[in-house]
Amino acid sequence: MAKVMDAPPPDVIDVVIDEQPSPRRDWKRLAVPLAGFLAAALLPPLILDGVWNFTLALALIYGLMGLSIVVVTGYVGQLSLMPATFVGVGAFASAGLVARAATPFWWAAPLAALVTVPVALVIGMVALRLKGLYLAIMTLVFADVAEQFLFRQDWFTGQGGSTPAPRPHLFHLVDFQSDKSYYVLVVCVASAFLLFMWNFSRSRAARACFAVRDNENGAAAMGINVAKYKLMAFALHGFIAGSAGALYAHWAQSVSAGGERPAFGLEISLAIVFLTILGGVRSIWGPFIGGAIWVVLTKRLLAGSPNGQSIAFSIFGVLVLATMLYRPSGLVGLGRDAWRRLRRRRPEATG
Amino acid sequence: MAFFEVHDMTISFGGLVANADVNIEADEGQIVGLIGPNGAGKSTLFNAISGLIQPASGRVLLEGEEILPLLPYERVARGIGRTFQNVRLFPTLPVYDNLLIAYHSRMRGGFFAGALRLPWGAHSERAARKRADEVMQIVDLHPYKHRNVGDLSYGTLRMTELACLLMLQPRLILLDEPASGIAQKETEALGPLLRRIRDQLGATILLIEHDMPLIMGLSDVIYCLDLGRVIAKGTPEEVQRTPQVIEAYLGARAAEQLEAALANENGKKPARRRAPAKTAKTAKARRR
Repeated sequence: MAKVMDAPPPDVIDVVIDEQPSPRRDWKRLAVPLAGFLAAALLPPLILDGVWNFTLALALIYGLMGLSIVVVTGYVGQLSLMPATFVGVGAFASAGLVARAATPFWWAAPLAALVTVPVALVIGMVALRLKGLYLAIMTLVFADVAEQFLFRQDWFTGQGGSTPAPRPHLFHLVDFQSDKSYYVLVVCVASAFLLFMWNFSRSRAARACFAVRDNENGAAAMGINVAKYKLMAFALHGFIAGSAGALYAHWAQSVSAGGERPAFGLEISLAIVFLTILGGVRSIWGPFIGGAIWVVLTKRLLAGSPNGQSIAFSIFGVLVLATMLYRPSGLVGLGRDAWRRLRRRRPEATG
Repeated sequence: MAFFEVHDMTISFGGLVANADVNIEADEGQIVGLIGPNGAGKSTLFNAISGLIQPASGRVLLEGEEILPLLPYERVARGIGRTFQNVRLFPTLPVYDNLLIAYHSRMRGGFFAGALRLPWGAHSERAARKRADEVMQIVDLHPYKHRNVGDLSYGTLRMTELACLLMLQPRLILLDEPASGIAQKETEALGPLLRRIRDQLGATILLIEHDMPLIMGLSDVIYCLDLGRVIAKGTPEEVQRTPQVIEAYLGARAAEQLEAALANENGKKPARRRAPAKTAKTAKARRR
């Protein structure tokens, strides 16, 4: 068959050498970013003052929320504009279980994440019949329904629409009361999710998801059960967002749906989607980068000054717009391209 | 009973009949060609066989088993593989991943097997990667292993698509115009490649093709479709001589002229055809 194809152009060979996979390489590709992530996550508490623990924990929680968008939008191509709704379900469920059913946090948080899964599956089932923009609008409607109805029910949100959510402790031995210790807990949870998602992203199931995203008919012709993987993505979407919600509730130490500015409304959902796009919607690392930028920008750098919030939102909006126009693969894609260009310039590094 | 049979298949979209009473048979290991002018219903037939559309009536049998009730992916699992007229790969993924996706139905492991690296998932992943390397060897795709499919030339895309098919070791391969849009040199290499695939995999191949030298040289049996009906069946030589086929391609007058020319050449009188009702023109009129 050699005759059928022309010789590969010279730059191909470069790429091939660049990405020769081997089991060792494979692990290296996880180990390097994960070590970077841990370093980036664990250094700030040491060098910055205490308030940052509180802020950066929120950044990681937003990163987790964004991770739920990576699964459903980045991997399977289904645009969900309601991550905040699932976050809210997870948050209220976890807080309710701890405050009203006296469940320990260690049971309540996973249970809350699991409770979110059937809710997300209902949306997923509708998503099997709708595509693209229509699906996005449908999720908007559901998000609004949840906000107007579910998050205003006392049985769900607790008396007066708010539930206390105390920080956990481990058999009274390890206390996660302080911001710093809770931050470490969040880092551990986020790392676990990253590890699982990294493994998942290189597996048969994830490839099936990518195939559905790229070409649904083609995926079906390849023997992929399209409906199954869409539902799986929505289940994961719910589970991750629900986990993030549980972490969020106990981070804030009390959870309420909010009045004027809903805590789990459209504004937050869009912020989660946008920060994911900014970081890179197809990469598991993307939302954490985007989450850090979003939280640091809106909650710290410009929060103090008058109009600071509006300026922060504007800067964030411009960043997202620039990303969508110039680098749809997000900041992760930008970094990856820069890294490749750097290595190509130094040929000895590729060998 | 043949290895693969289509019985009295009728496909319609609303009032438009795309295929009417189509009968097709293929023995195991045969290369069966489908020809016919544009809009004859060849690709529609493939769509029905692979399960993308449901025919209004008829039966499709693979080794005597009815496959029409099966969903597309279930048919793939039974060993039916197809390529499309316009390539349907996954453009944002590398060639290698495309091959692995093609192997999906033979692999094990869902989300948990992947996320937790459970042994059966890892085992099946290794087997799939080995198979992908083998197939890339057959079709000579190794230089393109890590290139995104969206960046490839059309000929290479076609080869990638074929490689994806081979991943599954299909028993019945449906090829929709494999030579369309690729260079002459590549087309010439396609014949030997398809024959090698048939011999190595023992697969039966159904081939839609407009490249006459290719399909005539390759097929054991040829069916010619026009306006949704089979108008001729036989060996390439027989089909080429059938007046209806010439007519479908060239029109009634050209067919007569050709016949006359041929007859003159053979020193005989031109034979009048018996059934003018079957001309393309009247068939079209009848359908309206």
